[in-house]
Amino acid sequence: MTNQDYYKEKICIVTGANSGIGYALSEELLKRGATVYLLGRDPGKVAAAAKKLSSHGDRVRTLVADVTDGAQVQRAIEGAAAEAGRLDMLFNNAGIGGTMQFEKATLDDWKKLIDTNIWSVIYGVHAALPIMLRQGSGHVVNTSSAAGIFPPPFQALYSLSKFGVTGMTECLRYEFAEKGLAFSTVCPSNIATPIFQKSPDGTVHDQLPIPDDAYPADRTAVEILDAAAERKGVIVVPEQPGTDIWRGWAAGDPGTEAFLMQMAHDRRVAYETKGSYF
Amino acid sequence: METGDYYQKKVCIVTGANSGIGYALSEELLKRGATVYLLGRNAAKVAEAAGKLAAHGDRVRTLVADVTDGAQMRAAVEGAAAEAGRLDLLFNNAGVGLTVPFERIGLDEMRAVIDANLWSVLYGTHAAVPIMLRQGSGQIVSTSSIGGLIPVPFQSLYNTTKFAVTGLSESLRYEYAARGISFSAVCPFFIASAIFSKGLDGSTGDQGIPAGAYPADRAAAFILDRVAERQGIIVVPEEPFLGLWREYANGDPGMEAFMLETARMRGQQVERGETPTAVPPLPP
Repeated sequence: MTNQDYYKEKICIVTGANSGIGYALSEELLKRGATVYLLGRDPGKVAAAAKKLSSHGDRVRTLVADVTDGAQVQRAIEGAAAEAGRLDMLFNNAGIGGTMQFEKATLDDWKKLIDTNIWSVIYGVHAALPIMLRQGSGHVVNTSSAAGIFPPPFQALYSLSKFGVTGMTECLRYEFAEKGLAFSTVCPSNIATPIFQKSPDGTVHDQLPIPDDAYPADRTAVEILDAAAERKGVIVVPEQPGTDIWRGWAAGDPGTEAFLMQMAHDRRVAYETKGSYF
Repeated sequence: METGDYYQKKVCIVTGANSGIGYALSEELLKRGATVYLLGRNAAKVAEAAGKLAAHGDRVRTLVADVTDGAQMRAAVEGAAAEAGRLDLLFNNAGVGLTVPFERIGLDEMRAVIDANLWSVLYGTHAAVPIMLRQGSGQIVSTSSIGGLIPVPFQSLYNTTKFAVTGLSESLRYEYAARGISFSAVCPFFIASAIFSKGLDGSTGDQGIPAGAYPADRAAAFILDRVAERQGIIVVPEEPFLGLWREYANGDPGMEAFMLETARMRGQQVERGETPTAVPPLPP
């Protein structure tokens, strides 16, 4: 059973809203009656995304900010809340992938991953929390990853950043439970988004394919919003096999250990023969 | 499993070696026959720690470096490996604690925690991996925390960094399994160490070591036994915390209630002006 009205007239901000899961979340929120501020760094791309959603009228709004800049994030969030009169939900969704061989990653790659995937979330929460505490209500939905609940090989940097997001968000869920605030951690596996084609420096590699078995972004958004409406903490999309791998890894299950070791082997061979991990 | 000889003549670096778990690990490594580079930021404190361990002769060595400085860490790790001819084990142990409500943490303080707990591990690992790949062997042991497995309320930034260390260490364990490098993430609960009384700036406060804290020397012996077995995640003490982590991952309702009760008790401590470190009775 789903609470379809959960999002009606809610004021939402979605970061990384131009494409991928962020765009799909924005579209689904609009369909469910929310007012959505699409936040992105590139004004042209934010405007293009807003235009595609223009059938939703003035419930579609835009914010231009770089999520790795704390002052810009703070201004954007406070500005939106002031304009709309409140802030019900913040989706810290912006992030970048980072599947690579560890020894080939530079310290600049690491910094980029940590700035974009961890600091963006910190800045967002830091700006939204005082507003939500004053309201006595609010819901922060942070995009982590399946790689934020179990550790896939050749994603050490990405996994580090996403484990960080999971730990922070789950901590805050407990910490603010009595203050009327909700926190959800979204852990998607392979979703059909441009993340597969982007390197940490933002370069797009069109020639890289999105894997054939990737899960559709629109279905991902529906599942995320259904679970978030129930104020679920960790939301694994699709629920399997991610959930079982997480539990198997934590349990020290030999089958899961063998699965992750095999993944390491397959990815190493793929890097050596094809130059990419799949 | 007999691990008595495992550390014999191994060349080790231990960061944060002046005190706490780092000092205890260094002492236990020396007892087991290793050569240990004690690494710390403060030259006098490193020298003092080395002085206390002088009975182990020239197997005790020192490195002065700030773990939050990538260039210093690289110079220290590469310098030790060059001097000793190899590097067998790196213990990324240095770190700071922070138990404060999220809304009271300033961005500068957040940066200090991420630098001290996350970048320190990244810098050490980044410097050591190429050396160990050339050798075809090596072990990197990073100190995470129970708060790197279970999201303990009122430790949000600490949890962020420690979860990140767990994810990093475990991902690398799989990635390098076929190339001879092992990775362990050490996840201690309350260990009797200086972490409870240190401010982020290194100042010493009056916050005491909690009653029931696990002795650091026992923790060190346990950790080294498990590292010798090349265990990935090392929970200290193992019971009941390994079980709690699994219950958390399983979404166990008793564990969920325990976490919410932890948050409630700690919230009351915050309102009384106390440090929120309460732990309710463990779930059955």
